[in-house]
Amino acid sequence: MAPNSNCTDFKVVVLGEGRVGKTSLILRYVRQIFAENQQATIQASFLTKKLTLGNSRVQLAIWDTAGQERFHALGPIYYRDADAALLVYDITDRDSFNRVKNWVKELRKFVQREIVVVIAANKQDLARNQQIPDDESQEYAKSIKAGHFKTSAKAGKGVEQMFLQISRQLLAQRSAELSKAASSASSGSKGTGSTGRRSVIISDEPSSSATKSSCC
Amino acid sequence: MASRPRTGTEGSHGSHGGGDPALEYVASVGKGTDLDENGSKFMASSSSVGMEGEGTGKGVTEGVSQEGGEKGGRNGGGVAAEAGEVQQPFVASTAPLTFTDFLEKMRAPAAMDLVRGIKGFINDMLKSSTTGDAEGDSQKVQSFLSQSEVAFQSHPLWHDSSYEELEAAGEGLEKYLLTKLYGRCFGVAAEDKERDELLNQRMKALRSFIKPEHLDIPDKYWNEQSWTLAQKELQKINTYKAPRDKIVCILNCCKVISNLLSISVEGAGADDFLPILIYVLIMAAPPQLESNLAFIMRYRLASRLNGEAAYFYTNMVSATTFIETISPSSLSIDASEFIAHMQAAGVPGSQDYQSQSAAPGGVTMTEVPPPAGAAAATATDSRNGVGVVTPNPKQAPAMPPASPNPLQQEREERLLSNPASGPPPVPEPVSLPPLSVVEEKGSTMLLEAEGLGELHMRYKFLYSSLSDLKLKDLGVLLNDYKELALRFESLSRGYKLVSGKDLALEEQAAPRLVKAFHRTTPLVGGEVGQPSGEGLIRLADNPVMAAGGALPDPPLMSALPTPPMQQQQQQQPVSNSPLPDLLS
Repeated sequence: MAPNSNCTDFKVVVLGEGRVGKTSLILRYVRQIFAENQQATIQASFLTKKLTLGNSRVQLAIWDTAGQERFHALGPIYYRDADAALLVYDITDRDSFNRVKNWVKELRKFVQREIVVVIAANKQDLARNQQIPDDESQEYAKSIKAGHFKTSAKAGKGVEQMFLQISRQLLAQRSAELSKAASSASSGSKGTGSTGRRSVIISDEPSSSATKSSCC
Repeated sequence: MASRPRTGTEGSHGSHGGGDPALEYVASVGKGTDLDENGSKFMASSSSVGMEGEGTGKGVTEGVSQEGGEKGGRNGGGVAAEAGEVQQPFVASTAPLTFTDFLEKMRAPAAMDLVRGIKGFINDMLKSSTTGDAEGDSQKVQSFLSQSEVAFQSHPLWHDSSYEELEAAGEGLEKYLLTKLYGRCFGVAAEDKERDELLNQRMKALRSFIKPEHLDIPDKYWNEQSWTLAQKELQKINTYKAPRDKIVCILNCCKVISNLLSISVEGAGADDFLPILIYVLIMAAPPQLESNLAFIMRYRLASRLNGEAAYFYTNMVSATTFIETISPSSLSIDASEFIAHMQAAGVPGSQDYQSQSAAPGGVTMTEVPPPAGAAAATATDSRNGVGVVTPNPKQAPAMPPASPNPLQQEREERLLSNPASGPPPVPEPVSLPPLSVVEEKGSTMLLEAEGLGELHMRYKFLYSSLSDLKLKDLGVLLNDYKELALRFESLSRGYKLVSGKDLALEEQAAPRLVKAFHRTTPLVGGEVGQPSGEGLIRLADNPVMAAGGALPDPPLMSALPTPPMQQQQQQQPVSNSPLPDLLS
C-alpha cells in the first residue's frame, strides 16, 4: 500500500564534537557536495538517502546532532532508538577523539538493542596536522568491534564507502533479527532473542552480507 | 519484529505531518468548519508577519514550510525551485484532501457503521471513569486509530482509493477524534502540569537575562526578524487541537530557523540549529509546551510520527530538556552571574547552583540524584531545577515497559537515562525550614501565578460563584475534592516523615492566603470551608511534590462523571466553534 513498503528504513544518528565535520559528511554523502565556497541553500540537520543493495532497497534517515559539550546530556534523546551511530572525530583534535570514546561507553549503557557503530576519522585532508595516529584509532575501533573509516568530507574520500558499509551492516543485522524472531516464534519461545542482547555494539562481518552494492 | 515501528525514516512518502495542514487549510478555507477557520487564521497571521506571500495563505505554505513546489504544484511555482532544494524532508505529499472531505465522506450513508464505531469510541472514552490516566488513554486511542485505518482500507467508501486518500482519511479521523477528546486528553496528567510549570519557571527566569552569545550562537545568525517569526510559529501551538496541527507548528518554527541557517556557506547543521532553537523557545515561552509535547507523543498515530517530523519533534524535546536541566555550565556565562540572575528571577533553589557550577558539562549536571526525600524538595520548591526532573520515579512504573513507539519510550525515559543516575535515593530525614516559611514563599508564588491566570487552567472552579455551578459539576467537584484531600494527606504524611513536623497542624499561613486571594477574586466566601486546605493543596501541587511517589492514584476517582466536553475545551485558548457532529 505504502509507496515505500518494500524499502527498509533505518535511522542513523551522527555524533561528534562540534565542528568535526558531521554536517559536511552528511552533505557530502547525500548531496555530493562539500559546501566550502558555495551556497548551501539547504537545511542539513535531517536528510534522507535511498540506496539499493543487491535486491534490497534501503532508506537511511540521517540525524545530525549538536556536538557541543553543553548538549552532551541530551544525547540519549537522539540515539535511543537509532539503528546505527556514526561517531565522527577530527584527526587533528585529540579531544574530539576522546569524546568518541565517551559516546561509545554511553551507547553501550543506554542502547539496549544491537546497534551498528562506525567511527569516522574525518578531515583526512589535514593529515599533516594529524594528532591521533591511524593505528590508535583503528585499534580502538577493533576493540569495540566498530567499523573504522578514514574520511574527508572536503575531498570526498571514504564517505560513500562508509555509508555503504553502514547500510550493509544494517541490512545484515535486520535480517538476522528477523530470522531470529522467526525461529524463536516457530520454536515457541517467547519474546526477543535471548542471546546477544547484552552486547550493544555489534559489527557484522561485511562478507556475511552477500549483497552487491549499487548506490542510487 | 517485522513490524517493529521505525522512526525517522519514512520521510519520502505519505503524509507524515510534514507541514501540509496549511495546505489543507488553503484548500478548505470557506468550507466552514471551525478548524478550517483556524487554518485561515493561521495563514492570515503568518503572512502578515512578512513572508513573501501575496497576502494570502500561500506565504506561509511556501515561505515557512517551503514545500509548495513539492505538493504537486497546487500552489503554483512560487518558491518551488527553492523548495526542491530543500529536498526529501517535506516531500511527504498528501493528496489535496481536506478534513472537510473526511467529514463529508462520513456523512455518506455507507459510512454509518464507521460513524457508529467512532461515536461509540468517543463516548466510551468520555465515560471511562479515570481521568489523568494518560498512558491508558493513549493506548486506547492509538489502537483505535490503527484499527480504523485497517478498516478504511477494506471499506467500500475507499474502494479504489489511492494511498494518499487513505492517509488523508486516517489524518481526518485522528483530527476529529482528538478534537472531540481534547478536554479529556490534553494537559490533564499531573506529570504534564508539573513539567509545564517547571519549564515555564525556567523560561521565564532565563528570558530576563539570556543573550544569544550565552549559547554561542554565531553573529551571522542573529536575525531578530527570523527569530521573531519562529517564535510566532511556535506560539500557535495552543491554537490547535489536533496532534498533527500542533506538530506543524513545531515544524514551521524549525523551518524558519533552518531557512535562516541556509545562509551559511559551510552548510549549517545541528551544531548551529539547536542553540537557536533553544533561544527561540526561551523567547517564545509558549504555555503548556510540555503538555503539548506529551499530547503529540500520546495521540499522534505512532507510525505517522516519523521522518522529519520526528526529527524536529525530538529537537523540541531536547530543547525543553536542556532548559529544564539548565545550570551555569550549560551557558557561556559566569557562574555567579547566572546564579544571581536566577535568584533575582526567583527561581527557587537557585542557590544550589553554587555547588553545581563546578561541574563540567551537562552530563554531570544531570547526574545529581533527586533531592533526598521529595518533601525536602517541596520545601524549597523544586530543586529539580538543578537538572533533575524528579517526577520520573513516579512516572516510570506507570509506563508500559516496552513502549510501542521508540520516541515515546525515549520521552518517558529520557531523564532517567542519564549516565550514572542510580536508583532513586532512599528518603532520609533532612532538616526543613519551618513550614510557615515554606508556605510564605509558596503563597507569594501562588499569587503571582494567580495573577498570570495559571490557576484558572488547573482549577476550573476556582473563580466560580455558587450560581455558576450546575448539577453536573457536582461530580467533578466531588472528585476534585477527593483528589485534593488525598494529595494533602499524602503530602502531610510524607512531610512528617522527613521533617518530624506535622503539616496538618501548621496552618497559620493558609487563612492569610485565602484572604489575599479574596482581594483579587470573587471567591465564594462562605464556601471556603477548608481554607487551610486550599492553600496547602496549592503548595502541594508544585512539581516536586509528587516526586517521592507520595501521590496516589486516587482509588476514589471512579466517582468522576463524563467530563463536560465543551466546557473543558473552552478553558483552552482555542478558537472554538464546535466540531460538526458526525451524527447530525
